[in-house]
Amino acid sequence: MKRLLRPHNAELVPGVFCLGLGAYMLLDVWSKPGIATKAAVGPGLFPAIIGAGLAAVGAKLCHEAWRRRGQLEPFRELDLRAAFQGAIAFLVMILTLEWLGWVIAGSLMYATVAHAFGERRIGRSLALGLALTVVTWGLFDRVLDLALPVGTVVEQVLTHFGYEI
Amino acid sequence: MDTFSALMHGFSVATTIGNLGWCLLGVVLGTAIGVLPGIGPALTVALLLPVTYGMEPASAFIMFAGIYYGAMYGGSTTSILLNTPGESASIVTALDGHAMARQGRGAQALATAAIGSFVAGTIATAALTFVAPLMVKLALLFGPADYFALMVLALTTVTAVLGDSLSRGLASLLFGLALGLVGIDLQTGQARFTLGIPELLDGIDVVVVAVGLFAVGETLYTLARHRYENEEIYALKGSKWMDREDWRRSWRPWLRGTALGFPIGALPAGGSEIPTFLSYLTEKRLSKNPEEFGKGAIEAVAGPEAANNASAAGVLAPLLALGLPTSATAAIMLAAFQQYGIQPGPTLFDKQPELVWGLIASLYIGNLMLLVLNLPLAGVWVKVLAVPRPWLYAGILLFATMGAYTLNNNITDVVLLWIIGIIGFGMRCYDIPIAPCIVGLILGPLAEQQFRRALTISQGDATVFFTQPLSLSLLMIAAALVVLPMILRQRSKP
Repeated sequence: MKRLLRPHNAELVPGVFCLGLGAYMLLDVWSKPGIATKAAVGPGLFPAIIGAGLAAVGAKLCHEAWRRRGQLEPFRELDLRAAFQGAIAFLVMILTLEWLGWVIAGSLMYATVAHAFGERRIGRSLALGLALTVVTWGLFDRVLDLALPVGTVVEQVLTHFGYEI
Repeated sequence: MDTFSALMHGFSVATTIGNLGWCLLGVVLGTAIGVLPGIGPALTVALLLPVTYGMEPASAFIMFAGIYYGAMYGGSTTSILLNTPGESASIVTALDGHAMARQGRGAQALATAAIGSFVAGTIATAALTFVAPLMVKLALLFGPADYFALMVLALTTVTAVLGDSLSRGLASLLFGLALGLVGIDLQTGQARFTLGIPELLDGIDVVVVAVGLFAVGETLYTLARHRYENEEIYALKGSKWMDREDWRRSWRPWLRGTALGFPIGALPAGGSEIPTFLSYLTEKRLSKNPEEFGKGAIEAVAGPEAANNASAAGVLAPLLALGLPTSATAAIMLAAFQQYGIQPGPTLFDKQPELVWGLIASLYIGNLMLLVLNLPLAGVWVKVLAVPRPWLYAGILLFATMGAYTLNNNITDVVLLWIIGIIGFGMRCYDIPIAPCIVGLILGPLAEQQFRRALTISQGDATVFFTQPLSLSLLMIAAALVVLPMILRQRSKP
């Protein structure tokens, strides 16, 4: 990971991304059978233009990065571990959202992200997360009539104790 | 119905108790969220979109108008006290505003920003009242080819003017255009780039993209930079009011800023970055002590802030009259219209006069409310700024999730939010501007529609874009915007 993120390699990332996306789009358009249409322009022309544009810009970005390699100012300091922790916490919440429900999954994510930011009082973060999720759940679900997931597990537990959701 | 009686009718819609309440709520929420560091008006509007789902369209848009203006006010507080502009238009304010805050003149900087925003907002809203109907008349002359050329022009300015690297801007724009293609092609029913996921057939929601890029991407970036940043909030001390000297130095910049901001904002290719920079340069040139600029000159806060707010009103003219968003915030407002099945454009003024004029009338009211809220309550907003970063950003992620989930009540949108958030983090690390992506996403499908319509009318003859005077001149301006800076840069090189 470290080696990959060395300045001259890291600078290539946006270029390669655009190049790849552009190539994918062109291939996709090319592989689709033509649709018989009365309109002069089919559904493929615009994607082809944008795909070609992306590929061209990607090539340009790669070229720029390649030309400047070695003489780049060092990448701004980034604490990638913290960002990674935040991204994973967010992903875990998304994957458990419909299962654990908004309140539990949300509070756990809240505390983990706060921890990644350097907040060491986990109990406090959890309590705050709990308060925020409960209040927003109440507001959205009861007042604004928008559904936030209760969570299948939570529902089972609640029905077990005789509550109806 | 002439403009004046239409406006009066708008006021009768906007001043019902219910709508006044929505306007006040919008203004307070807009300011409170806009004040938070790293959150600009675009994200504020996107995050608060779900709150309006269950509302009447007219009330929803009245609330939006409040959020929009409120977020602009809130954003200037952050730039002045914290030096973290939430959007590119308040970068200029941050220069001298923050310098004033360091000298203990933060309250005066906030006051000149608030009063200047009020003056500019009111004059510009009045201008909007009369310019928008004129623009509608103009729009009726436009054919599909001209519309397409106009959109190309708007996309070009958003891309070429922002940021210092054209290729990065283009990368962002094209990525947004590509995201806009996802979903069913409305003319042929063919699914494009849906990867076999049924939820993608409806396309990618602009709210998911905006919240992903701005909120999730920004939070991850702040996480990565948190250890290296040292933030300092400067408390407000001493007199809260502007003295006679401050007033004397502020009023002309307010008016000049307004005069620059509204017309440029109202141009179909405007945006709010250019007028704020122009206003700064103008004030510096006209000032007797230009050496003060950059070190806390009140003119350098008064002018650009007025320009910023005036252009915010200006941007609404092409949005309402042509359906053409020229800033990230306007793009999200357009998405909000589409959510109600309303397509802004020339016909909107005929079909939904209550909504349009109610919205415009509430801009006047919201502006007044903001002035009243901001001057005495500046201290309250400063407290909002002091929320500890860990809790603030964790909370932003919670709200982002809520916004994405409640769009369609499915997890797919939230997963998309995560993916786009990671991409947004990358864009932040590489200094790739975000606005072109958002505007591209929302304008792309509209541009494609006009493009195909024009070619259908011309029976496939692609010269149609270059043979009509209007579309030809618009395309030439667009080309000039890209080529001229390149030539100038070449020349300035030895």
